[in-house]
Amino acid sequence: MSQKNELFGEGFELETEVFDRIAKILMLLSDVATGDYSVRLDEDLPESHPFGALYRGVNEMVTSLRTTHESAVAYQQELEDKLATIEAQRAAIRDLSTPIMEVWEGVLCLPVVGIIDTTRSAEMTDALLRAVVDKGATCAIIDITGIEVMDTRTADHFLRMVKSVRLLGAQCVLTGINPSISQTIVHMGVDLAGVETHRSLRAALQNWVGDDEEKT
Amino acid sequence: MKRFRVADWTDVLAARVGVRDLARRTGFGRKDAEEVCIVASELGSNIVKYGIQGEIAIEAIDDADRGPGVRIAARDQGPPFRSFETALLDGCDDRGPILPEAMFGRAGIGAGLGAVVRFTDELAVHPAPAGKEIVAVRWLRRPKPGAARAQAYSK
Repeated sequence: MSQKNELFGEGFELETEVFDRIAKILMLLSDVATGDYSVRLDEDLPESHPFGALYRGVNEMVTSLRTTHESAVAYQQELEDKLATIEAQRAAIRDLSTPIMEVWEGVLCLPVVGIIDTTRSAEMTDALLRAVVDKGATCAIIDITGIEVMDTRTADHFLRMVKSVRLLGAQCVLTGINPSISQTIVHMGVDLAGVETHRSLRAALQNWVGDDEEKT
Repeated sequence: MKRFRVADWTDVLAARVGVRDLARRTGFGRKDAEEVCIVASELGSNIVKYGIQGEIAIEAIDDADRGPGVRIAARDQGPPFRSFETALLDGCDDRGPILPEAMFGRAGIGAGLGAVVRFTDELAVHPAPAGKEIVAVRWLRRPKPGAARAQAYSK
């Protein structure tokens, strides 16, 4: 389609031109449909040309589509970032639910805050036993200051955890037991022999570290 | 009524905080509020573990005879209990006892519903659209601790 000598030339030429121009529009639209917003139609037509207005309209539409698309992409990115952050925080919360720290050489500390339900009790057992083996710990101190209530069965599982640690060849010390939990445990009638307790985490550490230093 | 959508462990955390708050506002003491909190936590964990997803609805109630209390309804999309009575027993799931060798590495110890029974006064399970619903009630003045157990077991 070369000549634009006449706006409306011979029937044949006109038909060819119209098809040609429509084909260009269709090609551009298919590009846009596949996500390419950089394409534009040649605006080489005179103002008065009927296709001129159409071409400019199509170009404007593509431009505004591009803007919309860009902001949608930016928005999506932002959302994805936020979701990733939430996911990371969830993982962090999950991790923090059973933190196990090595506070001294071979001494693990497990501070428990919030509540202890059966799920948590099972998770703690799992995590603690693994940590004792992995880190070659000789002592594990579990601090339950701030735990107000424990179900009898959960307390039972908790004490079994203490005994399991001893089976692994490490000592397990409980600290910060409050009056209500101590009553729960006593009323359960379990054998408390071999369950070492201290009033506070500080007392337990002092005791253990002191022992350790005397030995060496 | 306040609803918490539960699909994830952190949702359980949110429901827990919500119910503790509600219990305290209803007049529960610290220890009792913690017990109600454990109930919500056990029911929430069960949704995450077995129920695919669901919601926990908590509500302060006031009965003419029993006085104020807290109702916790846990709805999930999981299969029905094969035996609710068995699931309530300590060390059991809804099929029966959990063997000791299967306990380690398991997500729980099979005593969650047992804890719910001990810390609530009324407990019922009924079918709900696409799943089941467990409704637990704890009165501020407990009629007799462990009453939920008696009721559930005698069925």
